[in-house]
Amino acid sequence: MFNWVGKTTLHLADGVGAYSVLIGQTMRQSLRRPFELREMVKQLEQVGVNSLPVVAVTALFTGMVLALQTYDGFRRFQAEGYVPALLGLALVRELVPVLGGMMVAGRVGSAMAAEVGTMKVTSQIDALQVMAADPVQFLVVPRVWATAIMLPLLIAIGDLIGIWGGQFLITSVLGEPQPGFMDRVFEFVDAKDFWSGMIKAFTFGAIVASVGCYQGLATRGGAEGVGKATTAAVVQGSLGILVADFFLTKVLF
Amino acid sequence: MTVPLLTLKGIRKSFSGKPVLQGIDLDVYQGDSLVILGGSGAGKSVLMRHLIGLMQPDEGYVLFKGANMADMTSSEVYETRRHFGMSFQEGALFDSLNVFENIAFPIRRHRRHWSLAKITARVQECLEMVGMPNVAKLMPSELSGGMRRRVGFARSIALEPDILLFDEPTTGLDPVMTSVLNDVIISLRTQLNATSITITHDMSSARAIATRLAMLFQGQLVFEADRDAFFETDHAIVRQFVEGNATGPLTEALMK
Repeated sequence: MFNWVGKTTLHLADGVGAYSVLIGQTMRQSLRRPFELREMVKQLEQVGVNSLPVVAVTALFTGMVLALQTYDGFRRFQAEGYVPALLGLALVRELVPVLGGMMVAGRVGSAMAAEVGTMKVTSQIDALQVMAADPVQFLVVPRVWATAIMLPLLIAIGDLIGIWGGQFLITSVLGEPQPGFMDRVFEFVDAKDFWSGMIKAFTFGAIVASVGCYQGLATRGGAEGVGKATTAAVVQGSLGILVADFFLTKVLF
Repeated sequence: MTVPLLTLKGIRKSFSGKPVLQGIDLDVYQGDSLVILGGSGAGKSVLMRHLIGLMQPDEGYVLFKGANMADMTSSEVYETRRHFGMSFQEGALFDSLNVFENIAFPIRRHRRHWSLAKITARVQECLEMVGMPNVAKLMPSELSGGMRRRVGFARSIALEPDILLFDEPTTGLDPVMTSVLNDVIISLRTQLNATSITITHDMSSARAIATRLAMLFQGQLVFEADRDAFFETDHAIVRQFVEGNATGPLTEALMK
């Protein structure tokens, strides 16, 4: 029992240490030439353009279900008029960044862990080093920056889709159109709310990609190892988002 | 006396308490074709990784042309690695890039001013040296195991290295392909006038390419000699390995 606690603690500390080192290296290598533009563009497309459908559907249904739940609840004390405000605030500040981020963790973080992990177990990472290409600079830096840049853009689009989804549901499905729905939304949602969501999305993007790459680089032992790394990337990426979300909310508001 | 190109002194390395290398001393001279023999799990790959600085020894040091690799800054290490061309067991080609881009990769990293035409010419030259002039547009997944290794060779010679390292170049290939690869290795070495270090447990390949051999056993180099002396020695471990006998000191050590 004590043995287990000790081992787990050591293992955890090891992991946190190695992850911190990777973050440090990523920051340092970001400023160093050569900049891997080609790899960066490829990742921007992978992460950004190809994740749009997933984030859009997530935002759409989150907006609709939120409208459905709140509209019914608020109507009980004739406060339907506040649904747009609640919808806007909840989606922009919290739901779209977190849920969208977690979807991207599942889609992008896992793919990064699998790709980098496979490279690791087939000696491609060693080959990079032998050819004097720093794996952090060549693989991690473009992935982390691409995700950190693209996730806020995705989330911004998701914000709009989510709010529109709520409006659509109330107008067309519940059949109780609210004139000036969007005006009501923007009456309550400040620029600060929007930017806090963007800051969160940027941070979540960096977390998802760095955890994915970290798990990939730490992969050991063949196909099984790649599978484990992929799972760990999604689980830890998602947990990272939830924990970071709490602290960011605390700091930003 | 000439200075050895590469010197290993007292290299020790263990992984989570389990010793893998237990004091390796080795000198490699210009023009050698050294073959390091050893059974599975003898530490061959680990030794290879130390030669090129992918792993750092727990004790001991590696000298390249008299300079200690452990004292170098990371940019000096990268600069030193340019003198090495390493071929990995399964080729380790980047599977997201086609054959041309794989071979062009080290050139693009190290010869930034080269024009595309110059790079293309060099890639073609490398592919011809390994006898595969028509595969530049293929993806690694479209190649057979032997072809992939040859592309790996081509990539490793792209920067005209002084030292060629081959990590089990013929393992898992059929006898014909093994002979083809042996010939490629020999011709690369003569054409580039390079030194080569090969680790393998394939005796036919060792016989074909070696000028000097060393036997790695339980993390130590137990015997080292020139080609003819090596194959004629009475050293019990070497004899068993060369002849492939089921009984002898190698199998006794396994039983313990």
